Amino acid sequence: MREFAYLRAADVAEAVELAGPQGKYLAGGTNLFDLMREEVERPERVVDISRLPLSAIEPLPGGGLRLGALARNAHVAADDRVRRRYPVLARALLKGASPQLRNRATVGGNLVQRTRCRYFYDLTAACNKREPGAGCDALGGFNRTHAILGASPNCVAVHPSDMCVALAALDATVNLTGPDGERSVPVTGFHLLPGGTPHVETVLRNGDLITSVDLPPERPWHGDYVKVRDRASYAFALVSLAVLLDVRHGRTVAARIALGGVAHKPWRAYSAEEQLVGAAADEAAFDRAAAAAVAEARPLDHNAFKAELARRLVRRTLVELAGQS
Amino acid sequence: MNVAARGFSLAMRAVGRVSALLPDGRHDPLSGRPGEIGRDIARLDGPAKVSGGIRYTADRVPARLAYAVTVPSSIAKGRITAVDSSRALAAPGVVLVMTHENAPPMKPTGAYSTLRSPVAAAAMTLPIMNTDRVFWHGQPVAVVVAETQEQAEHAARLVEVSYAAEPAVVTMSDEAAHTPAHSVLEESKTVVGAPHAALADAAVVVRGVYTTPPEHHNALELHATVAAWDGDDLTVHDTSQYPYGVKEMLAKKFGLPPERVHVLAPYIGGGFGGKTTAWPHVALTVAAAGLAGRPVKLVLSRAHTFHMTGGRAPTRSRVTLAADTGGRLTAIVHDALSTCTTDEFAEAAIVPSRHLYATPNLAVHQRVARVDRIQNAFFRGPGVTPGSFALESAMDELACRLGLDPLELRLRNEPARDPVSGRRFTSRHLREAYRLGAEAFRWDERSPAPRATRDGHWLVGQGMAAAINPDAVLVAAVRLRLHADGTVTIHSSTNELGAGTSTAQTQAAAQRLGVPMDRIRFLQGDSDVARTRIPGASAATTTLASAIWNARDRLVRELLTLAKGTDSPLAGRRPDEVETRDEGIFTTGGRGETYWRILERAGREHVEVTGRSAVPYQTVKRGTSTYGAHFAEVRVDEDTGEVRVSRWVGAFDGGRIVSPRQAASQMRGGIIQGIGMALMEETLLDERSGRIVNAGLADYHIPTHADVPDIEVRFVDVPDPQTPLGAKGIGELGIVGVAAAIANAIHHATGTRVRDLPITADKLLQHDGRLGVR
Ligand SMILES: Cc1cc2nc3c(=O)[nH]c(=O)nc-3n(C[C@H](O)[C@H](O)[C@H](O)COP(=O)(O)OP(=O)(O)OC[C@H]3O[C@@H](n4cnc5c(N)ncnc54)[C@H](O)[C@@H]3O)c2cc1C
Ligand code: SF4
Repeated sequence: MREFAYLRAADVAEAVELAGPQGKYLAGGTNLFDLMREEVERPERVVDISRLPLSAIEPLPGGGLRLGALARNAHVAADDRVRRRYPVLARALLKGASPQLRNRATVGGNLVQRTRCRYFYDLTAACNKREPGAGCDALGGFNRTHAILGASPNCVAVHPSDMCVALAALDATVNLTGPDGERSVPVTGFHLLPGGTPHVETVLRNGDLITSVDLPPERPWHGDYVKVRDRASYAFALVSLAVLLDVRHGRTVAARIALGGVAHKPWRAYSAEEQLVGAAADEAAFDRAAAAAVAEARPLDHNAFKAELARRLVRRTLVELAGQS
Repeated sequence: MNVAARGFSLAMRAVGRVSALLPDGRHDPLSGRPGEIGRDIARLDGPAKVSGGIRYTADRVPARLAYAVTVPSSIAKGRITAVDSSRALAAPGVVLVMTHENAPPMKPTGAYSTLRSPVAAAAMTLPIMNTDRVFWHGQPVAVVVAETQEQAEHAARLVEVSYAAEPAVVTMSDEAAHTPAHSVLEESKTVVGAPHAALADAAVVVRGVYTTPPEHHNALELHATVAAWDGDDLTVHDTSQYPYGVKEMLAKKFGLPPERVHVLAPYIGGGFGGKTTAWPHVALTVAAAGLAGRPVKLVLSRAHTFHMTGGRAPTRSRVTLAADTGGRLTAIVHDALSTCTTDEFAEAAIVPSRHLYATPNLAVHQRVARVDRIQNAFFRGPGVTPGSFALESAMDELACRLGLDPLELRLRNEPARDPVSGRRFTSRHLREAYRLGAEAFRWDERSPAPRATRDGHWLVGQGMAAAINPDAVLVAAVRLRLHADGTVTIHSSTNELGAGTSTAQTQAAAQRLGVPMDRIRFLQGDSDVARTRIPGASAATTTLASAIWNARDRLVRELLTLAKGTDSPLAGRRPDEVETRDEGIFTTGGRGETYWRILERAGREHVEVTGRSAVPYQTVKRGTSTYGAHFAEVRVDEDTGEVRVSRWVGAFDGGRIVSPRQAASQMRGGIIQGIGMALMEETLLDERSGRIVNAGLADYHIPTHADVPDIEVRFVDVPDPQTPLGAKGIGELGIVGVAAAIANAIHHATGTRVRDLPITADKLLQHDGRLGVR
């Protein structure tokens, strides 16, 4: 690990000031420390925000729920309100990482965690995300775990989070404080596609600090989070899926479908949702939606199975949820 | 076949002819007797281990210690053209940077891996850090020594190495293959009868190509070495499965008389063969400590464990089985290929095909292809583990083709003698293992047809496979000291790998000497105790038992000599007239006295004897192996291809079981490692660079608790009449056959046969070019 300045902020404003454009916030440290030890990230300044009063989970006026940026993943998953009203989020969190990691990991850190692409971690490999313009070794290398949707020739990495997939389905909002004040962005717009700038992963700029995430008021959804991985526990998703479905009198009134492990960001399958809303909640519609979810898929050498896997998962989960309605 | 291979074959045949004339092994009087042996007790070192009471190698912090970190090469083959250490040397806390330019000369030694040079435990002959050549990606090209681990890690990244790269070969191909001199000490090519004619005439023939990937051991404890020079005396703590071999290697490399080199390794946190040979970092730590003039510790990071210690070589097996309509094998043909380096060690997948089934016609041929990778290593069940995946999958395919129950097929082909050598077995109770396992699993309730059982979207299936592992008694000695208070200390230069060796040996020694267990201290892992040649855990139980048996006989002789001419009831007795029991020596008529009384009368503080393991000619004369049968149930998600192992019964013939709980844990551990091999383990090497890309436990998956079902272990527990205690070594047996049992169960569940490990969801989904499972 390189030497760096370790700073501790007393409040949000000071944190933003201390960080400046180049600083890194330290929350649970479960991702940042690994990246620093491997020297993939080499911040000169690390601003420890872990003691800031941002861990609360509070009701919002109008019925939503606010998750403090420093609320631990384990804490959020165990929160009674989250479990009752947003079970899809609790399930997603519990399918991520290990109990030890969830005890450390925070809401903010989980949003900003970086890809697990092996070439990104390997300083001897070519990686545009680590070093813009260097090339992408994943393209001709091991890309079984990489993106099938929304990728660019510059980067085919995926965002590894489970939590964010559920947040995308819930249409959550991310609240930020930056040098120019506060602002809010929908979580679906928080992460970016790689395009020509794969090193730019989120809308965070110039020391923006995530202060909280807002969950909108609950709706009468039936929802589920499913995750397919290479072992039964403690593995990142090959494909994961958050689905929320509202079926009344045999018709789909509302539907949200978000996929994980397939793109540079949690992937909302809007076209699949369009196939469902207003139509009869039957297998034909679910088939159409499942096909639409992966219609744009562009597989690489080793990951064609992901499209089929995603299609089957979407279909099966819709059938199961409709059965509960 | 090349000259070396032919020479080896001739030598083996000569040994076979001579050994047939040898007498059988001496029957161990203890082998059937009840007592401490076979008692179900907990591991004696358990409480100390779980309470942090045991110091492992990396826990050692001698005074003035400095910390070393290795720098891996970033090319797979070529030459180092320049090393610039200036930035590293200028970094805070850096003591020195060692490269091929300033490293002391280290004499090349034979490589233990070839099994031709048992003397030194070196993993390879390559003169690492005494040459500018690069032989694999990740080879240590510099060592940075600093005041702290963190400073060393940081400075290691500042060492700038320039290379002239050359084209490297990292994947195996038929074109580059040759026949190795031997295949785990058996010949590499054997033909019995007329296999190809038999194939042409056979009623049923199945053919398959089965592949296993490179794998790494991933013992929980990282490799670590702590070296301290005191003038010309060298003390090394090392995570070695073979301290005596490390001692010999270091003596040779540094030109020291062996008595000046002291290697200690009392406790090892798992080895699985990966710590049998000393990888280059061991000698490099010693060299760095010499340069630094102070003790140096090097702990390989998990990533460096992948780059700087070898794993199991990949294998590809072509297996053809022929049978008559009654399910009797008429031919086994097994051609296998694996990788090797200049120090040729074949991951000989052909091994099980030589010994498991009766067949009049057989052809096995092992080949290896040289690659520019790190030397491949021994790994739990060398050869037999990947080989059994091939053979036991093929047997399942044959059973399906014949419409015969896979267990019944195996019973019909159980041999009376070794199918290749014709030798009799010291003992073989595989039929009994099949019976025990099948009964516990309720195998008879299995429906014969694949895809017959479902539970929601889970397809459920059962599969089985046989296990076999060669058994041997090797060379060890123990120093046994009987103290005046009647307690006993036994020193052995073997060590505790975590398998429970010390517990089992304490049980055995207690019964051998007639002393309660709590009066025995069993100490291990000191190279200075005696010459030992047991790098593999499977041989520890019987080898040590043999040495302790010998020590007991010598002790009796010593004590009877002390009693001679005294008023002792033992005066004038001969060794064959007495027994050791009740903390003393007694005649069958019940006359005798306690150990402490003999010592007291003689005015002795203690009596010390050295016991050596007997030359195990009975295992050369006869085939000696351990056997087993795995019965597995899996659930396969028909939509996703995810596999979960839901039930397991393993039944084993390991002769007499000395310490049942330790033995069952060993088998469970092997089965869990086998589940990893079957479903997830694979060292991924990028062919473009030769670099291992998943060098860490986040990417190289091993089973988690959620991947492991309840595992029921049964033992036949019948003593082998020709081995010490009637026991056999079982440390490796558990993993053998596991992958095939799972592949066979997956086939039974889904109708899909995957012949390429690991069996991941995508392979089930994309099988045979069609999207499968459903
Ligand atoms: C072995 C392993 C397995 C894992 N498995 C999974 C898995 O299966 N599923 C899954 O979803 N995740 C998994 N994770 C990832 C884990 O969820 C993340 O590491 C964790 O959520 C990061 O949170 P943290 O608080 O520790 O972040 P940190 O490591 O502290 O920070 C991560 C990044 O976020 C930034 N950051 C943190 N807080 C803020 C804030 N408030 N505002 C702005 N920026 C901020 C930091 O500057 C840094 O760049 C795994 C991690 C490991 C190590
Ligand atoms: S996929 Fe992205 S992160 Fe991975 S190597 Fe390519 S550019 Fe780097």
